[in-house]
Amino acid sequence: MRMRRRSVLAATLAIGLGVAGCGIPDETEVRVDGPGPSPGFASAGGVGDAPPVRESAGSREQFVQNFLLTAAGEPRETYKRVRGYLAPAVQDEFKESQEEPPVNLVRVRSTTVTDDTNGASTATLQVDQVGVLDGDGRVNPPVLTATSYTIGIGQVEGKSGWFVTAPPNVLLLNVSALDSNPLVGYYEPQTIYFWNLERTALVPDLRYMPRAVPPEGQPTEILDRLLGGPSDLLQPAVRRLPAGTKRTGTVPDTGDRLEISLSAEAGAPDYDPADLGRQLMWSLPPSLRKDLEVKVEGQPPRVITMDQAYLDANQVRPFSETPERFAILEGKIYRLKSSPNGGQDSLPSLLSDAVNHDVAFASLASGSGVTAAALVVTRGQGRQLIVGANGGDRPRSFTPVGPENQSIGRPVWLKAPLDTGLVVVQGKLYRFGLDGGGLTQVGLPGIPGAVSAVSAAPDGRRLAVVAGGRLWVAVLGRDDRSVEVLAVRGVTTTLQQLTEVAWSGEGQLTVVGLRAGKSTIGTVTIDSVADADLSYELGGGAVTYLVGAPSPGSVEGNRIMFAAGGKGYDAQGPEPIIQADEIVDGPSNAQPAVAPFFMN
Amino acid sequence: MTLSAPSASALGKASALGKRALAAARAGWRAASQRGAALAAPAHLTWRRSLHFRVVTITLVASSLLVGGFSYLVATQSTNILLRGTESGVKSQLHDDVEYAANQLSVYDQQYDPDIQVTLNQTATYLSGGGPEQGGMVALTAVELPNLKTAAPLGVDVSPLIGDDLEEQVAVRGQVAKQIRTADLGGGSTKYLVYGSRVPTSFGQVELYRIAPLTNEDQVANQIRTMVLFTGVALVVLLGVLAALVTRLVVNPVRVAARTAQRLSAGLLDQRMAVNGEDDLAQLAAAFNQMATNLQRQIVRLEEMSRLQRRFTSDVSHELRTPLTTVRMAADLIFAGRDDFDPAVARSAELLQAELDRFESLLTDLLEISRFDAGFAMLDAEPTDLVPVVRRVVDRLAGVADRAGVTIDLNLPDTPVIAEVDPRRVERVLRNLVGNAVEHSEGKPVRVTLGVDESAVAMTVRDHGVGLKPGEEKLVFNRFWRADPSRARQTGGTGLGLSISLEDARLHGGWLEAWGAPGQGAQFRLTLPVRAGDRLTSSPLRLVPQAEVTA
Repeated sequence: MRMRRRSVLAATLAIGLGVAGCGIPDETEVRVDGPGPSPGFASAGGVGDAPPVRESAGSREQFVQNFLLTAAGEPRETYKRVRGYLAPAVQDEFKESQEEPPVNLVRVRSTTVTDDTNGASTATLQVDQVGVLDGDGRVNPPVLTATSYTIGIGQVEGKSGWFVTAPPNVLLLNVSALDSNPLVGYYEPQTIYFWNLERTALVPDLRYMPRAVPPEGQPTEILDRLLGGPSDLLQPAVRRLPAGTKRTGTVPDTGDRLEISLSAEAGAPDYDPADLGRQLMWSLPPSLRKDLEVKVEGQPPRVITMDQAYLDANQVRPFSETPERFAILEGKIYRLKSSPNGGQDSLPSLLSDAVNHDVAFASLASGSGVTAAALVVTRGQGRQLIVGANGGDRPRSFTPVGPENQSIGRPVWLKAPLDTGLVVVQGKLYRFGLDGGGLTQVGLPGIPGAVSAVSAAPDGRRLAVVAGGRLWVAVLGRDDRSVEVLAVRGVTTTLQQLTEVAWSGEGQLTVVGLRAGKSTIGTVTIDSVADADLSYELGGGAVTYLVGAPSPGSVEGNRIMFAAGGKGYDAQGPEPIIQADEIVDGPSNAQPAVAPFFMN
Repeated sequence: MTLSAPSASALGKASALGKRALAAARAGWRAASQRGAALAAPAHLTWRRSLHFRVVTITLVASSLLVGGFSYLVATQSTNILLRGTESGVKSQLHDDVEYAANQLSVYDQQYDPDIQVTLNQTATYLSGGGPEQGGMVALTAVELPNLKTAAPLGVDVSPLIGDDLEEQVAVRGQVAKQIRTADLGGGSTKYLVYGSRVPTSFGQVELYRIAPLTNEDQVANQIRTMVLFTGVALVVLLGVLAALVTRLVVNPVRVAARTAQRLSAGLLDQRMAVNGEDDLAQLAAAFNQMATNLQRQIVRLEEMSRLQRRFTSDVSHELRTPLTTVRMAADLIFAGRDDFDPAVARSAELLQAELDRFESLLTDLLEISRFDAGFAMLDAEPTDLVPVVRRVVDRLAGVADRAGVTIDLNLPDTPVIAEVDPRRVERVLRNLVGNAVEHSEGKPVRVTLGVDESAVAMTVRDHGVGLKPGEEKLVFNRFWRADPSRARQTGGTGLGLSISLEDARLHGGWLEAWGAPGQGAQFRLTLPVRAGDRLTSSPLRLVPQAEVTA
């Protein structure tokens, strides 16, 4: 009996062992399914866009110039590049770090290299402080005031070339590194966009993108910049993304769209991820612009296409096509042939013959279904501002605004929404509106001197003001009854005694001033970085009048019209001077056209 | 091939170690096999003796093999199906993961971009979703880019899961490969399916591993296995019980038949089997009973016949005695007066006297034999010194020996040899043996030896006459058997002497045996227990003479 029990046990054990061996094993051999995907290839971008290395200098002067460019490019590599220039003895003063250090932009006026004893040299730099470039590509106003730096130059035994033996105690970058010309600079100026506080339009923010960032990486970098917030100037006037929003992935191009992954904070109740999508879409360089898929944690993905809402988000958009051009001839407004359709369209119905006479300056704007006109008309010895509008919920026949005054300047309209205009009267800035009120003065805190010219950016939140011969950029807070200057920033330019200003790009102003006592038209970016003269044959006359029309997505532009020596000029016309045959239906043998303007 | 000195010595050490290990293994095997043999011996005995055990064991072993094989197949197949399903799911997920990771990493073209590590971590966290215990997780490695660390969600260390072989296949050979591994990632030891693929990027090679826990699959596989195991065991046990029951049905009647047959053979002739029903076993029982009845009838008939025969012999002997006495008296009278008759008549009277002596001793022997046959022989045992018994017998036969020209040598111990025997019967046996020896010794000496030990006494009688042919050692004890029938009437024996001697020896519980070889004479040995009723185990004297053995 015992034996039988034992054999039963053995049989059970045999089955048990057999079956136990056939569960999921603890470890298996590696099994191969087939070949994996083949490795990818990098695009051609980003190569050769690094600043010159130490060894490439042929002279001490060039070495100093090169050293002032080393901070350019990929910001996280800045320390590394700068250390490459430093003599071993002083390298320890620069700790390697992956932080993005603020870089002080300077405009170098002169460089002098003097020989010291023992074969070393000292370079003395005379500079103007331009601003501070940070890791997000913003140029904020300068924090340093020094105008002179010395740099010790020497050689290290056993190594070729020069070394910096006594570096300045701050990171300096020659502002030429930000030149938009790829042969000169290492950055591409870009505008990224933030929504205004009312979420009615996007406000451009000027940034600089290192050329070292490949096109594939730019959407991610731009998203990071959007998440990083606007530049100091725009802070009070635009919305930041919901606090705490982070990207949870990069922004890859999946072929027909870009994918954006954001943390759950982006789904804040008062924030529409579509807004972020349109904001990002506009912020992308046009070559990379495509449909977006926005994925916010905890929400279904949303696809943002280039629809009407996207187009409407940027008030500059109408200028992307040929802007409508007008000119005033013998007190009457005419279309120019360079308008769309050769200017054959009739004038806006607002400008009936009843009002279209004795016009000195005019400003036309359309937006949100409203067309508004502000005309400065001659009344005897003085001038009078009359304002009219049609369309929308506030149609208004032309009525005078404010008193008659000899020195009323050219009015400008603020868009988004199109309900407010600004005009300079006797050196002061006044607001007028479509609401029927009179002129109310707009305070300009921080801007000294009499205002001589004003130009509003198409976004309706930025203003360029020339006051006391200097240029300022201000951001505005608005409601339908008032305008308030929230922040201002001075713009430095090499032109003197400025008189006129106009927005010619999203981040660029065209100004009129004196260079060597001669009236000159020049451009300057609103962060004072790029400064250039435009050369026009003006016949010795001073430029007395200037308007511009920016292109969307473009930092710079040259769509300007101006008047000098009693003649109207169109920078993009067949000839600079607006000829009589460019006036549509104009009277024969008339005076030259004056005060040309764009429909804003 | 030459070996350097240290490596040779190392090899020597290794081989010495190997030998020692081999010796230990051998010793272990021997011990195990001995132990096994010790265990197997009773099993072997039971195997040989019990049909029941054999059938149940064979059924159990065969069904275990069958059920085991089948269970293995079922469990393996179901596990494989489970795993295949999981694998294909993980594979398609891996495909999506790789696509996602490739997209995420497509924005970089420099391997030293510090954001890559952040993106790797973000991607791993995003793709891992529910965490390692729920839907599995994703780890990203860059074997060839030392500045990039392995990215896994929540800082889980996945290195125990990504083996060198898998890494080799995925990272070096660019294959999509998978492996099951077990590791403890914080939630206890768990099996994981690790599926790896290369991720195409512009800055170098990144590998993505999707790590799926097999907890559910393992549970299901275990459940299937347990179910199959229990079912299998239950089936085997059931088959064993069935086999035991069926065998019992068949074996039990056979056992009853065996017992009955044993009783029959022990003489219980009225034993019968019970006949139940009409099946094969019932037929067996009926046939068996029939056989037993026939056997009983035959045996009873033969016994009856044997009894009648013995009775007849006894009766005839008794009946002959009375007329013989009368004839004897008449013959004695005639013999006494023979001198008065003429020589021919006197010679007849002598012949008559001699034949009457012979007739009388024949009758006496017949009566003695019939007493043995009838079971009336009684042993009258008393402590007796056998030395004088032997001397007495030899003395009495001295005359006969002299006439035959035979000398009788005695080889007796110096001390008395006391045994509980019936002296009359022992003397008769000895007389028969010595008489026979003298008669057949053909003039050569006869030697009588007496031996004793603690439990037995023995007497041998050795002659050197014609001897016995092979097979005749047993025949000599048959009634009326003669080695040479032609000499039947030459000697005066009745032909019953050795038969009676054998019965006498048996009555003592002793042995009477014969040895002989042609031309070498014969030796008879009588062995008796020292105490009456004891069982004999050996004899103090040899049956076959020493000289014959050495020859």
